[in-house]
Amino acid sequence: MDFSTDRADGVATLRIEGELDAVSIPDVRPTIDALIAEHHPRIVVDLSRLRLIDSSGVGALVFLYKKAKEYGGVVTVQGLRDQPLSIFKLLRLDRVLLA
Amino acid sequence: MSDKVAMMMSQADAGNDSPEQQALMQVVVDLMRGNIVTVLLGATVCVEAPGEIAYRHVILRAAAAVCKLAITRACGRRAPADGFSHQVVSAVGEAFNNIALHSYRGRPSDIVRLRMTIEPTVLHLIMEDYGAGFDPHTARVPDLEALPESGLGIFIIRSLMDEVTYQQGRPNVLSLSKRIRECPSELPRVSGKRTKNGLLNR
Repeated sequence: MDFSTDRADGVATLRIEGELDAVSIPDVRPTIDALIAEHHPRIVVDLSRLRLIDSSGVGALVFLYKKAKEYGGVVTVQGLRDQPLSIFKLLRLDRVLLA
Repeated sequence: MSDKVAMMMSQADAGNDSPEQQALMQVVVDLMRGNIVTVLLGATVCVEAPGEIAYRHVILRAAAAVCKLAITRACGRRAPADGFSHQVVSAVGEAFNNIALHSYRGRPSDIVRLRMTIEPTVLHLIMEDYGAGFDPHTARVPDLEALPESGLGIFIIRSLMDEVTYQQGRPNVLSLSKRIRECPSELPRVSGKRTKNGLLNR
């Protein structure tokens, strides 16, 4: 799993590639915590190059969504396809998080 | 890491190294390397890995490879990863997480054994571990409206698989089955009469 962040025009973008799962969550979690601490009004999670997600990965993204909502921020997910998209639909997250 | 992973083949508990078993083993090894060779049936693919989360990818790669075999068998043509494969890999991944993160928590981890048997239109998977048992049928259905951050693994398994059974013991045995209901749409047509659901009838 690789990930990167950039901040421009009031939008923080988190790009995650590969697999977001119980193995990789500890690596990306500090970055998620940092985005929350910075209180960005808008956070975009780009998952267009994500191949696989599990319930741990979903949990981390929902955590980000909820924490941002607490301070009035908005989190959207874009680029979902294949297995990650099917998991989002199964858990009915597409109606909440998809851009 | 790979030297700690054992891969074995057996045919219906026969326990001998038949030419078919050896050939199937080679098929799966090649699939895991990305090289599809051929399709054989009637055997069980068995993959063992340490029950540690770092070995999750080993189990998932084997499951993905066998899904390709199952689709190829059912549809008569090699196929890219599709909904069937995504669903099986998702369920196996959640089951492995449960074993590595919960069943073996607080105790020395033992192995996870995944046995996969391909039938013409069904894939059977059996996962075994030697940790603390957990019956997936006792898990609460999560309230998806509340956007839960945890407790989703069992729900994912039960939602994506056609059959889920669990037997606690030494080892704990989780049995999963998934039917192949349709072939990926991008597959070219092949000779042979197809059934109503698009599967190859040979």
